[in-house]
Amino acid sequence: MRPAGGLRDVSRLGFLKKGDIVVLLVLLAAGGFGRGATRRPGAAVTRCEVRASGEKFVIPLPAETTLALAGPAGSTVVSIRGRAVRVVRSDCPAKLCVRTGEISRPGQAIICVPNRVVVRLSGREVDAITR
Amino acid sequence: MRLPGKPARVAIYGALAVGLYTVENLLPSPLPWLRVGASNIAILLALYDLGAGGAAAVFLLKLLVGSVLVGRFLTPFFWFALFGGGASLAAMMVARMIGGRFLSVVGVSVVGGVFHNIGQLAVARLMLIPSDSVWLLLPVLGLVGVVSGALIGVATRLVQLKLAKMA
Repeated sequence: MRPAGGLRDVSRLGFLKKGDIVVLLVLLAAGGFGRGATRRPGAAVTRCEVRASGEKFVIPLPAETTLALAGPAGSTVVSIRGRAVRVVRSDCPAKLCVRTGEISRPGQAIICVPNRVVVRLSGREVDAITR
Repeated sequence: MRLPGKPARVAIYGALAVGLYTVENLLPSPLPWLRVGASNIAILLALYDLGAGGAAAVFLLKLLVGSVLVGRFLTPFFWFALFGGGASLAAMMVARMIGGRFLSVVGVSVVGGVFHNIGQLAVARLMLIPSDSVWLLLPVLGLVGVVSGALIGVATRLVQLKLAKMA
């Protein structure tokens, strides 16, 4: 069927038609489903950067290890389990690093200021210019 | 009110498209590639008023004049605009032809928004990133296309209803 065209053609129609809602819902559902299917949680984290007492080193992830880092306030114990990292114990006063809990995504970090400890996760991210 | 003839209406929609395109490029955006695509309002108006040929003419006007004005003629952005916009326009023509009875301009615009981003991803795959992992972005960009297409569609519908009263 060939659409009629012209400016007056639209006047007898309502604001939305049923098909609009169907198209909208179907595409939203497809997008949501595809998003769930293509997301691989934690897969992007490939490195853990640790800075303590002026030194910097990188641990490739996944790894299973526990580090005891010495600093001005005492000892900070970092536990690495697979692609997830947390501070399990620290001698610093406020224990903010312990309360940060577990990190597992690129860009996340645990920072203990009094003990001068920084733990950062990084990794490849899907990147593209899309315009 | 007497309506201007068809060639004059192509020019009017074309001017509207170029104006919207240029102004939207001046506005700040959180991500450089993220735009609503306001100039699509003019292309949709032309598609419904003048048909496929008129819409194609308005799209080409927007692409050529608009990209010269913002300094993107034949830059990578230009190819993205050409293939994104071309895919979008083709999809909207088909959507209007097949779904004309069940779809208003809002649904047609949503289809166009999604295909705009599919076309751009195809260019990215061909010209920038020779890896199929590019398509992993499709769900996110598709959702962006649905949302911006719906916004543009509603705006176009409001203009159409006003124009129909005046015509």
